[in-house]
Amino acid sequence: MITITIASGKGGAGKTSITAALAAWLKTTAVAADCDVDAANTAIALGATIRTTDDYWSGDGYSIDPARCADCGRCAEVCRFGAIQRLTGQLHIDEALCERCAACQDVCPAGAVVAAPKRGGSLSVSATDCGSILVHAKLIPGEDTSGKLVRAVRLRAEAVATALPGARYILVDAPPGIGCPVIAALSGADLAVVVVEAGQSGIRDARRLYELLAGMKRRTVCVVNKAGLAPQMDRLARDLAAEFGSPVVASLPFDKRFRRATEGGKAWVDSRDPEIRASAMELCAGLLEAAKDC
Amino acid sequence: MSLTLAVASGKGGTGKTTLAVHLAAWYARSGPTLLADLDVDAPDAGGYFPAARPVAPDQPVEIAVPEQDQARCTACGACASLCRFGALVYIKGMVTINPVTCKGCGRCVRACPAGALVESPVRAGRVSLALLPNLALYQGLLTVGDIRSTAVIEAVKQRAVDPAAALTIRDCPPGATCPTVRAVHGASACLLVAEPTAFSLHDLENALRLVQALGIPVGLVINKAGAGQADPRRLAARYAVPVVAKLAWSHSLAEAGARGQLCLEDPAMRRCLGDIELWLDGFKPKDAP
Repeated sequence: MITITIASGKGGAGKTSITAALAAWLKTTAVAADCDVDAANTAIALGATIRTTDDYWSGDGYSIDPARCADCGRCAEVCRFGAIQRLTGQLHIDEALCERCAACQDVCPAGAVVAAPKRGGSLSVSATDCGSILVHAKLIPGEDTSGKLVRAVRLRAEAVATALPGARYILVDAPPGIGCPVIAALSGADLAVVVVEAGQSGIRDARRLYELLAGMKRRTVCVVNKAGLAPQMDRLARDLAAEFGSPVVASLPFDKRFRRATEGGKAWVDSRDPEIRASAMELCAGLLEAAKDC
Repeated sequence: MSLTLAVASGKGGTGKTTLAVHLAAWYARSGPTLLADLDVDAPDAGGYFPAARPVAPDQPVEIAVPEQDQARCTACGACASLCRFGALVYIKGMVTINPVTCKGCGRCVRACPAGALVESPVRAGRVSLALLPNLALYQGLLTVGDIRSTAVIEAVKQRAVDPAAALTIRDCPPGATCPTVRAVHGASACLLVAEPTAFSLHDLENALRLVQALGIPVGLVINKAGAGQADPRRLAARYAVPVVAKLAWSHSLAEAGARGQLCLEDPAMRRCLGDIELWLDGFKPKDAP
């Protein structure tokens, strides 16, 4: 089994479209994992039909029972995250700021801090129009612990792929950025595909991703996307890949037809536009060639 | 009174930073303005202001992480059994500390009966400040490999305060979980930037739910109008959110974006910024009659 993880640093660089193109190309030999659980779009790109869904429990959440609270304020004193405030005369835990460390519960002399398991969202396994199985998740907006859910999605995809005869690839669609959920998505990657948007921001963010990947000692290849808007940016994108020893597998031009193809609910490799189809097939063939030695 | 505007989106790449930097430059022409780049994983606002003068030195963002005094540790394991972040692990009569996952809650230090844990600061990132006339640009930068984005975001928020500034703009991270919540929390108003695509609409709904749950008034900006077929207006109506402004896709704006250049003279951009200003005026306290 080969795990290919598609990441970018900057959002909107084309991660999901490239993941969908690869899945549509590999069909039943691939299991896709949408690890961008904050903004999960692979299901839209691949036309998913949910087969099974499980609740995702994110651990205990905390609140203060006003009936038991003696109003001593010790909880607010120990909270390092500023999550406990006095609202209309009562101590209150702001869930949006709470890191769920439970320090407040340790120090409450009245036993007024109550823990209750929280449903963070759900995890689904779906069939898709192209034949790949897709593992994806829905995080309740504002919920905590997306890194933990990313890990759950990745592990579920591994389990599905192992049990599926003929499955040879796991395609991981990573979230943007370089933080906790991205590191969770990149663990276990045999090959990381760095999508560099050929613009000042895209290149800066991809550099940080390359630095992260160098620390994680992952093999990388580069796809330059939205090329041709500013020629010096195309050059800088290639220079960046060269600096990190990352072969440029493909360079996709900035072309509204790519977006239109995605909008039509079709993966690029199935586009009716022969030029888009040809570029996408070349991209997929290049990526698989690079993954061959993994 | 000073207003704080969060610019967020759900999906990445819809134009949060583009809008935030243009708004900052637009408001800086009439008075002191703050721009706080809270996308600490991938901060890009600074790239639009190459002339900004850095104010040295950067301020470190530090987490108080426990260190173990081996001589005192009785290997009882109490610390590890409490840790919710997997930062202390108790295996075979030994406690190992992983300073990278520690959030610095301090529980283990208080719980240790032998007083064997002492906190020392570990750097998770830094906050920089750069100045232009009327514009202070605060930027948070997460250390590569670190996972504590929220701590860096909080540090930028606490530093980027100036009562003299009429407007503070927060360029927020993409997504709809902890970092976005931290970044948006406490803002007087939030602009969500959407593009007319199915992906963007799906993620916009998550962001809308998050921001409304925080009780923050929301306005919608439709960016790259004409570049897709999806229409965010129905979703906006369902959540009773006004469409504050629209910015049509144009090749010249896309090209300037790739180069990291401001387009304050572009007529479409000016119209968009003017419409946002009108909406923001509504949040100013009304003068007494």
